[in-house]
Amino acid sequence: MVTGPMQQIDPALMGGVVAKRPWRRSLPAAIGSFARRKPLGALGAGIIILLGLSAIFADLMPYGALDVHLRERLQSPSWSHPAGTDALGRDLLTRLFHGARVTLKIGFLGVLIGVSAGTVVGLVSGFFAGKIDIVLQRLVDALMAFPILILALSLASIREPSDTNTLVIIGIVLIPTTARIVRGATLKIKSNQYIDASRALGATDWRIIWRHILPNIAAPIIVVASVFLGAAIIVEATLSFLGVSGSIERPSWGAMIADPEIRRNVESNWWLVLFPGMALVMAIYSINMFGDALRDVLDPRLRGTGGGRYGS
Amino acid sequence: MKQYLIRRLLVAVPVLILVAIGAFSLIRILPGDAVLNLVGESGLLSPSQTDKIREELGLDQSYVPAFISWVGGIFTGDLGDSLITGRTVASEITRAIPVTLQLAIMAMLITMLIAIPIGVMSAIRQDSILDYAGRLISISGLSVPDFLAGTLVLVFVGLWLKWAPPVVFTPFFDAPAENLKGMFIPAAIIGFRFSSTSMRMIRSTMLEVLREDYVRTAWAKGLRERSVITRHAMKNAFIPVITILGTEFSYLLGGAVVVESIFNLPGLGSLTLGAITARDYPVVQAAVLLFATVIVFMNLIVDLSYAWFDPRIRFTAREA
Repeated sequence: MVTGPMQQIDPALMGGVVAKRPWRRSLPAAIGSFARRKPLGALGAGIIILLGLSAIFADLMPYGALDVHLRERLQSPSWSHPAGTDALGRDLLTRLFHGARVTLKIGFLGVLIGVSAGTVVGLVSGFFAGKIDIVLQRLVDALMAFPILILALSLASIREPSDTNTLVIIGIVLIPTTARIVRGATLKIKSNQYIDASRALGATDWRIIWRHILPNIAAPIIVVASVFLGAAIIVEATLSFLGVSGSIERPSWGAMIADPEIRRNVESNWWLVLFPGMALVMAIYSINMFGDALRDVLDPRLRGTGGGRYGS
Repeated sequence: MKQYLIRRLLVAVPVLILVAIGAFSLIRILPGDAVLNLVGESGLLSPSQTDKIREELGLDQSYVPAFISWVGGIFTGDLGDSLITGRTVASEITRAIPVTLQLAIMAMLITMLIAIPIGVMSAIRQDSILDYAGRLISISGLSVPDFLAGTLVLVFVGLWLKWAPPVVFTPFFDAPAENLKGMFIPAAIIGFRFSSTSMRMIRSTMLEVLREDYVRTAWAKGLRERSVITRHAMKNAFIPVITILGTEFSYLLGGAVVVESIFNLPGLGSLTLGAITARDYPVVQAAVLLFATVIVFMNLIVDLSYAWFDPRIRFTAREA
């Protein structure tokens, strides 16, 4: 009987390896186990999916987001307008659904841009080290020296407000922190023996990065992306609130909270701030709960590092 | 320690230079003509007037000489005049600094008052109801943007308690009670938001420290809980917390921007925001530079204090 080295591996050990990588299991099974272990995180994910659906089907509402009905202006919540109407008689619930579209689109795309760019910077910095690392890290330090909002606002002042502009701003704002975390993770993976082994086998730098480093730093990248989704939504909402993102017409939750009608007459117009505020908090809260749970499952070492910029 | 200090200072210098280049370049990466953009919004000016503005902004010079003269201006205190108010940029900024400084100090105190007790309690009673409540408060703080918290407070506190932010700002040394009446709520908003991150940090560092051998030793010696927690655990847990409070200081300043403008406080935040929306470039450049410089120095101080508080770093630095 010939027993190869494969048969000698303790099955329990194999089990341990598999259990550490929940994403290798079938998708429904992985989702089921996630929901059991982290009910709050799953609830968060559910709410985000609901928001996504309301964003997709926002056009099915009986009203349009920009339909002006001056006769119905500033109505309190009722059966025909469950969230009331604004100063131009536009249905607030319809605008909230359209606002979900803006929020989620800019949030997801902004994070995609920022985290991808930051990952490239961090990987190059960590992998190639030396002079390029020193230069890139000083640039990252300089970017981190600007408070996020000041950076976003100064960038916003450069060009006319538009969604594209806001996306680029969010991308730039997220680059430094992502780059730091990816750099740290890359340095750690780079010191492993299997990297030396594959180099000895003649693998090129890019092959090592693509096949060995990237898959191993995927967990922290996913965690960072989920945490930054909340941050990106806050930046977008704040820029909209301050009137430097997108057109004024466009329904965005942040811009809705800036409605001057709210300050003019609070006592009779409370729904104008309450509903968009609730939508915004619900979205960010769900994302934070989901991100927290994801972090616990994928990368317990990052636990407790907060939703914002990680310390150095 | 001395070598560590020198090495750390050497890292801060290129960052400061990059920051200055960044702040200075804002106006130059504008598409089109910055002056025409500005004039287009304010009305018609004669060509000689636009030329004068261009000269004041240094746009008649090429990049490098303009940058050098601007940096020179930083050291002599001559940063040009505001395009909107006509006052010198230096005077605009020195008037705004005390307001933001007071707001930042108050917010920091409120942060510590909220974050330290809740964070420590959360850690020593892990997974209790107290812990869950603390974490709930912390996630809430992370999920409510500053501008929303500000608007909600303004709207609902105004409605129920008939409180409104004072129209005119009173400096602290003129009438402390009046001043605090206007400052407390904005500071509390920033402090609450800021405490959510700190609370999590305190909780997790405390949890780590509580599992250290020396804490077990302290228990084994028969010390009371209070003395184990305060003298052995907290003392060690707070070293990283200082770092975190310092590095997250930029958050606090960012929060000040929004909160100051919502509550009519004439601080650096509302100055910057106003300058950005009015395209008052000399003020924007100077304010952005100031913010970034403060943060660079804050990080520097934090790193040095970290080395000072933690003897391990102090001694390895001496040997190196």
